[in-house]
Amino acid sequence: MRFGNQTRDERSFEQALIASARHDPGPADVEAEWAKLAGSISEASRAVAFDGHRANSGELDAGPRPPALPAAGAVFRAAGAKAGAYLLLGLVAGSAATAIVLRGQPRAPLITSVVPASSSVALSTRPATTTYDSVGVHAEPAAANPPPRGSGHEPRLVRRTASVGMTLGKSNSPPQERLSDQVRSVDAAMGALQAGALGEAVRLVNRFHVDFPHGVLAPDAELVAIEALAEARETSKLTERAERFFESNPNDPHSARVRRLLDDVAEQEKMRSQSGGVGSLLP
Amino acid sequence: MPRPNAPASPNAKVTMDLRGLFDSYYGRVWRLLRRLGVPTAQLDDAAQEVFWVAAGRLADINPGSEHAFLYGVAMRTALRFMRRESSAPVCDTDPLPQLVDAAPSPQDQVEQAQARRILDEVLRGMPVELRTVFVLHEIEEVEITKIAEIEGIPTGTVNSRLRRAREMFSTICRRFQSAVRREQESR
Repeated sequence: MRFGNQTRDERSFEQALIASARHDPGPADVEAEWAKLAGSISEASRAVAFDGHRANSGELDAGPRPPALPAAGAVFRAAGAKAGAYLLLGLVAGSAATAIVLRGQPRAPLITSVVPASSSVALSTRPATTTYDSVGVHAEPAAANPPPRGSGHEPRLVRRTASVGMTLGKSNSPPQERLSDQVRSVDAAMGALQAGALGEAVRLVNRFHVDFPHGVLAPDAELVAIEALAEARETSKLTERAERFFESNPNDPHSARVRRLLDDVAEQEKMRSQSGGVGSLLP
Repeated sequence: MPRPNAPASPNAKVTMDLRGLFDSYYGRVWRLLRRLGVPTAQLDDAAQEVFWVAAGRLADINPGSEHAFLYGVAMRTALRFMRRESSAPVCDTDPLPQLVDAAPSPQDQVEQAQARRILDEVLRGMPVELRTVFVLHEIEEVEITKIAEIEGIPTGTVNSRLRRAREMFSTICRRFQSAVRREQESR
């Protein structure tokens, strides 16, 4: 039998081929691909934050560069890293509908809950992350390529990329642990630290952990406490807290900063012990 | 998860997120890229590119037109990847010898995977503009008007390309079947 110019055999062969495409199982590991994409976006946001900080401090053309993006970011590289990232972040922030935190591991960021724009203190018209003028940039590409110590390029405290308006996945936090509340809490601790109220900063971080036992900003909060302890020269508490930090956040980009703080304090302690020394500055 | 044909609502845009888009469409986009001719080794990168673009343009994607947007980006991405792949066969090459060697007796319904390999070879024997329309309509079951929208061409052109694509697809398939028969007879 013929169908137009085709025999039944020819027709069924074509149909079988087309049907085979509809049964294509597709990619092997979608989750891994998602992690790759989220990692690329995370890298991009860090690159923007890093360059943003350096631009603010007039150091854009000097110092270390963020790490190269993974293969999946080829288009990003091709389009020009910074411009692409600004475009990306600007556009998604423009929707002002959700907020994200891209955390830790370059290829497997943890994700936050959705936060209505109206209730999020983090949403901002500033590109990329909101950094703290005097102390902040989310620039721990330093973990891979740390700036020279004492160069003045070392990033200190960082607020996570909570200003970016996009949700990249499901939250691990209970719904009551709203990102906006966490940001507010970390802000308060940061404010205390900046004001030199070191004990208050530590207290506020401890409060953060009570209020948000699963908080996605816990590493950020903890870094504030560690900074405060380092500044207060509370060596034993600092060491204890830093060790806990490494255990709880083995791949967190803040790890490099924490290690540097430990090294700095150890060095200062050594010098102090040689010259008579001063005790803790905490009240 | 966003539904491709979900009615637009004021909150739909707000709730649509990249993760949802990715979960809903990554597999489809990946398969589309494969059918359009992106080499297997580059499929993951190509699919990543599509969603990278989508991530930057989430705010521009209207609810209900996610698949049209993604397919459009996928098409352009596929073209870029195929251009990069200078060694890829073009429409005027003859894929038959390779097919005969690689695919024993597809008429007896070999495994689906083997059938897909043949399909991809057949599609690769078609010019890109015909292949694209054919894949979108015959495999992805996208309507003619949508294809026109995605491609940015009149529906008449889509219809004409589709007709030529079907003819060409049939021709290549017939040639392939003949080659297989000859191969079997010679054994």
